[in-house]
Amino acid sequence: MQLIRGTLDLIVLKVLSWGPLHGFDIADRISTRFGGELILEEGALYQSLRRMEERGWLTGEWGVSDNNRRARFYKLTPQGRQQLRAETTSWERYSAALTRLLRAT
Amino acid sequence: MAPFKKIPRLLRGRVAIRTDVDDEIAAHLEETTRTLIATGLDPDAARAEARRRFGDVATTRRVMTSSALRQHGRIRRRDRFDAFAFDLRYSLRQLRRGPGFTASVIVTLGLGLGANAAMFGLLDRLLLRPPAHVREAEQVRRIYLHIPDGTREALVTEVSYRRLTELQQGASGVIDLAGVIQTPFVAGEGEEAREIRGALASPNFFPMLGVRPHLGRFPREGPEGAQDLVLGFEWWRSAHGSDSTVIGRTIRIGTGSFTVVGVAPEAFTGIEINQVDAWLPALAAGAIWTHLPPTWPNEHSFSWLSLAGRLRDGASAAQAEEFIGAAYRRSLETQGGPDAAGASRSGARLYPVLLQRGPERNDDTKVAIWLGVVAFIVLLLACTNVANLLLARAVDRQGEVAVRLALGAGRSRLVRQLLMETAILAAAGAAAGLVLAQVTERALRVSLLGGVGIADRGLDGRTIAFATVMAILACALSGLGPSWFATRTDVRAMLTAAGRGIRRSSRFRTALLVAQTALSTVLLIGAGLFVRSLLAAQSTRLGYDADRLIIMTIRNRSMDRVSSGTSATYRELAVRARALPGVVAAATTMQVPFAISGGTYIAVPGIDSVERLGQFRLNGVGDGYFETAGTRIIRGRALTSEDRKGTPLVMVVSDSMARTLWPGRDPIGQCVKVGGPTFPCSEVVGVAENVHQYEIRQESSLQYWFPESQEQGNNSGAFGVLVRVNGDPVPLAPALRRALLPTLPGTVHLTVRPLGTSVQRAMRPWRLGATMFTAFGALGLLIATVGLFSALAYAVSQRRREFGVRVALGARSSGIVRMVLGQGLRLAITGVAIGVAIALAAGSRLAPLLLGVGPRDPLVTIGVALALGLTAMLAGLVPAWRASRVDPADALRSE
Repeated sequence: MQLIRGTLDLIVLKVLSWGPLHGFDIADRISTRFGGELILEEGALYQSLRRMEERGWLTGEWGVSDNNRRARFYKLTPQGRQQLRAETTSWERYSAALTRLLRAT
Repeated sequence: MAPFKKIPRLLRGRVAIRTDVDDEIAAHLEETTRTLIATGLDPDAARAEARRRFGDVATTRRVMTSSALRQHGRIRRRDRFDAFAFDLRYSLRQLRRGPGFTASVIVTLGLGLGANAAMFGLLDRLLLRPPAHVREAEQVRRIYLHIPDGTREALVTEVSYRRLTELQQGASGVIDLAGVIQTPFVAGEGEEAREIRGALASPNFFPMLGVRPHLGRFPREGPEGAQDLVLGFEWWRSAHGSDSTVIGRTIRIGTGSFTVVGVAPEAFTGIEINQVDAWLPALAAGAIWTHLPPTWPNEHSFSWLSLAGRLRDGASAAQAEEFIGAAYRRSLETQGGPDAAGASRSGARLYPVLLQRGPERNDDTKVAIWLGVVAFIVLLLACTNVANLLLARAVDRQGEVAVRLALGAGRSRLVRQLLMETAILAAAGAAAGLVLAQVTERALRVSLLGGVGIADRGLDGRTIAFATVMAILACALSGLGPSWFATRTDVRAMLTAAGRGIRRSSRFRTALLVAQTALSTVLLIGAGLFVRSLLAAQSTRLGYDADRLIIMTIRNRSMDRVSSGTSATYRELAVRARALPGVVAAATTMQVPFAISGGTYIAVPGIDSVERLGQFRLNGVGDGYFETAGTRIIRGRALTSEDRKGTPLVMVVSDSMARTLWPGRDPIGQCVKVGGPTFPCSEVVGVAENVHQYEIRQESSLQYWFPESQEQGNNSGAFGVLVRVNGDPVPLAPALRRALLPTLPGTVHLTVRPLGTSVQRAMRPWRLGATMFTAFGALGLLIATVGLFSALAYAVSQRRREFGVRVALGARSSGIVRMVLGQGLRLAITGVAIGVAIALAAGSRLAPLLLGVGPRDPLVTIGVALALGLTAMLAGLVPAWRASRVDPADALRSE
């Protein structure tokens, strides 16, 4: 399954809403959640993280991972949370409308 | 937590940002590889798989890095702005907290900056700013000619129309030459007639400067353009209501009728700084000066045009001088006569286009340059004072600074904040200064430049820019030292001893006080010298009673009135004037002091080439001239009404002329041939006191008087009527004009002017120097006094405990008073000594501007030294009194 363009940011925001994670973990969670069906280019994930950090939706800080390695942890900012809510709403409306359209006879 | 987190990312810079990105990507790849190895892949395959999954590493790295750098930059800018905004708010709060301090600093800086801005505004106009509307002004030059005068060289400032034409032709390959003069015109007819500021210019003057008309065009070349009139913008606005249909209208100027062909652009003044109301082509000169014979354009005499020219592309000033010089020599040879003899040693020199930068710089400008220096000294004084105030404040605030340092504030950040306070003060000072300059400059312009129509407005961009630069300079000068000092605070000492006085500041403050006293001394010595010059000028006996005299001149407007007719008109005018109330006497004259004078060849039997002895000025006068002028006869007799046409030729000579021609001999009965050796003898019948005709500073003129009616040496024609009144001439002058104008033919314009105004004008440099030096000197003294007072008061408050101990140990209050006064006096003496040294060293450069007093005048020097000593005593009195009143019990308990 290909990633639908423009949805990566939303996915990342959603994953981070459960708590701070580093990049590898985020990729891992996404792939787990999608049951290994999603083909995710990890470089794009990092670019997305960086982009959202610049926009102030995330903050990244160096820390130490579970297996005691240096890793950069990302955390949602209040602004990021707000963005997640807004994007979720608009995605839900969009997908509902799209579904209705596709099911129409 | 790892130590990395402790370092704020902002402090790590751009290299760190790149490393961060690389690290993050590397960490991810490593982790993936490890996971894959755990699932059983061999390491190489795992690494390759990890890279495949990641995608394009290079692009990702690039995108991430540029994003991170962008964010980093934005944050840093925001932080800087935040810090700036914080400092600004904090500084404003601090300044509001000490309103007295803030106000005194702003006033001090305002005075200093205002004085500088005002002087700059003037000097800029006189010496720096190119004339308005002139294209590539650096290529335009003023040209002065010179001819030999004995062994020296005489400057030729004006040339005749014919000479201009010859020079133009001779030098046209290297320079485009034009001639111009500003002179009053009479515009309109009858009752409507009024004097306007006119200018005559060769028609190529305008294209040479590169000026474009506001309306219409400039005069045409040649005879067809001789009736073309161009209005000055300001006159067009005030007298013609900015009416654009004025083009084509006919206006009467002088004896001619001219057609308006254009309007000059706003503030166009040619190469001078005075406003011009109307521009006429040079060929129209005959309509302005009726005494010119019709042949004047073809004659070498009648020199009235100043020369200006634009260097052609690629031509150098030296080439232009060479070409003009050669053309001038040819012209002199064509002319023949006595000047042709010196032709081979004649030449031309190019100067900047601004009059005051050339050889004709006047005393007003020289004084103004000095005043510019003085204004700068006042600013230095103001800065020292502000530095002193800031320093006192810094000492007061050591506690606060120490706390901030202890809390981790950086010293550079603290300096920045303290400088911000100074910058705010300087900005407010500059604003106050510009307001002050606006007022002062106008006043100065009136006193310095006579207020005659400086065409442009007072405050402009250049002055504001200058004030800004000076404000920054003032800020740096007065703020850096105290800010630096404030942050040198020893935190531990300050926090433990809680604000005990720090002695380190005192040496710096002492230096400032000495500098202030020295600068005030210099200024006051300058003031003293100018005041004495002014007094000397005022007490100079001019050889006539300027404050009782009115001069009347007729601006003749009618063609048919030739010179003998004018003389008759003047004689009638004198007779009528005598009959008026308030008039004591009246007589016609050929000379008007500070305005018109003339000379002619004279020959004296027994003396070869009389002209080598100096320039002899002639005056043909009417009946009762000496009683009218108040010129005293010291030997022999005055001219009387019996000396007239037909009676033996007689003359009165000035004392200096008598001494020059006949040293040690009796001048009475000697013979002078006015007009040259072929003319008959005029017998000297009297010797009059010396007179100053043009300059107060100059030695009195070599002067002789003869009855005008005798037309000695064919010199005839009066140029004015001198009237002696028995009251203040100023209110009488308009009454005189009203009473006499109706008796004259309708086409003349009568100018009536108290002679005193001309004399006042001649005294202006000294009056200006005396006023401004005194004002600046007083300002300086005030600043120094306040500085000394506050320093002593501060020292006394710091030493309360010590004084308490002294009193407790039996010191007398008089002893303590003496001690404090002595401290102030020692400072003052050091400062005065330095100031006197500077004044003595710099004095010789001031000497050419002084009158009747040397630059090292002991009276002035000693007077100023005493005055400053006295001031220092006064400044110390209150602190000393306070020190002597310290209650020992109180002082000792308080610590």
